[in-house]
Amino acid sequence: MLARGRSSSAEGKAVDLALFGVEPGTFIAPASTEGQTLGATERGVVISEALATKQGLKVGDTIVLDRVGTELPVIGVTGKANYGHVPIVYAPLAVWQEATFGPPGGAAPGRELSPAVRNVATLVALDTASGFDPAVIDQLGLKTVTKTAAFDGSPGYKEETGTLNMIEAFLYVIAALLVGAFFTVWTIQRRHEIGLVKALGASNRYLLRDALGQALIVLVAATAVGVLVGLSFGFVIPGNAPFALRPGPVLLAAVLVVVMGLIGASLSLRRITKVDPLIALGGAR
Amino acid sequence: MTLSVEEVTLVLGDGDDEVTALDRVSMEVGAGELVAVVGPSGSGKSSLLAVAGAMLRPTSGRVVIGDVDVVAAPDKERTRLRREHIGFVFQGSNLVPSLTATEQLLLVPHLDGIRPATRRDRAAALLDEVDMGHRADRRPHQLSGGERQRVGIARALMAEPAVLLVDEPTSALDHQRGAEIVELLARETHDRGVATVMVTHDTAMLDRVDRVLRMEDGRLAAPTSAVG
Repeated sequence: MLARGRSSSAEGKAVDLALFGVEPGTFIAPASTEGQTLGATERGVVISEALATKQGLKVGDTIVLDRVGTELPVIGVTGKANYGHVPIVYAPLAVWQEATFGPPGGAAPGRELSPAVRNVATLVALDTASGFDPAVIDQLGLKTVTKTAAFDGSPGYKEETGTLNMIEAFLYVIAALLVGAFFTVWTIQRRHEIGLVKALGASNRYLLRDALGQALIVLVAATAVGVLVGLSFGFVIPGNAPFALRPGPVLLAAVLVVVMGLIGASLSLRRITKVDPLIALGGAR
Repeated sequence: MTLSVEEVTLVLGDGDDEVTALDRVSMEVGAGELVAVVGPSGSGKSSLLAVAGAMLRPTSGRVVIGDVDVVAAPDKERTRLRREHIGFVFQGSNLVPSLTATEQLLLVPHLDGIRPATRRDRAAALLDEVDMGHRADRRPHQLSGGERQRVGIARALMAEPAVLLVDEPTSALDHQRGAEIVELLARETHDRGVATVMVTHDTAMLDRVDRVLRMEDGRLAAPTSAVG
């Protein structure tokens, strides 16, 4: 649940948080980078890093949920974890059930919460092996989805990643067009030279291979410089931005830029085949 | 090998703009013979070179080098013929601006898929032959007009062509430099047994050539003088 909590420490600052209930000890329970792990105490919660670094919460503080009044003692800090850009607070499942479905302030003294509250969960995470058949679960009247589909289902996720992916895709297309324009100008500028080499007996194949080879050299060198500039900018981006540098995607992007560049460069190849060797005669130079 | 041009007619443009650039032109140039074609500009001299050099297909007629019909050959074959059997010396030499003199020559085997490094000795020998050995690593802008023309001649000889086609080799040179270039062409033609056609409008350059043909309005006049 999305909620607003107030730290019990002196400042009493209000923080926005997403409260996740997790059965301690299961595979989706967070690993703590600081303090104790979830389940070490009955009611203790583990907060995501951003709450500690940006909001100043620390192990030993207690977060009190607005209006609900549930008290959440902080026992540990985990890595980056956000839900719809709101930092996550992991609570033991029972605490989450109580905060979400119990009466404000918790059960009246001396009374247990209704057993119905104890049976509530939003979803069940499955750690499946290969060959697992989701139909077995679906027969029970449940609906299984993949992790990707689950991410897509969370608020704003699909729209946001969709926008970013579209920007990225357009950038690749623009890269191809830009490189294409560059090599077209280059081809026009050396038209006379191409005519001369053709007059000397260069085949179209020779000239195309030569042009693409030069394009490849320029593209690889320029992409390498681009990756270095990108990486150096990446390292100075403030830590709280949702930004990560991983070798896989960086390499993939570099390869894609080179491939798109070659596609762009090949737009100028027709001009090369159309140059008439006759222009070498008549002393235009 | 002999270069023979047989009854070649070349009509350029179409409809009302039709121009007969070559009108039933015939000539034969033997191995080791330097033939000059003279005539005013626009008389069809360059068209003759383009047709003889397999760059332009005539409207009718045949061009035969040795026993190969250059006109009938498909485009790919004509490209290969240019590479292997025809040497061009262009007006103003027409070198590749970014290459040194040696590299201009090595470009020729490279076009043929031969590793240039294996032809270094031949390139050096040819540059020596045209008196350019001391300028081997200069680029075109560092050379004089006459020196560029010498490199151009060496490049044309690189592939050991049967036919050498020379387009206005002296146009950018003073009389003495021009005469030296024609002298060089005559020597190479005779020593190597190449069939050479030199197109020029410079009638002062004809004392070293074997035969002079006159061209006017696309027609080749009968030889008017035989020199040398």
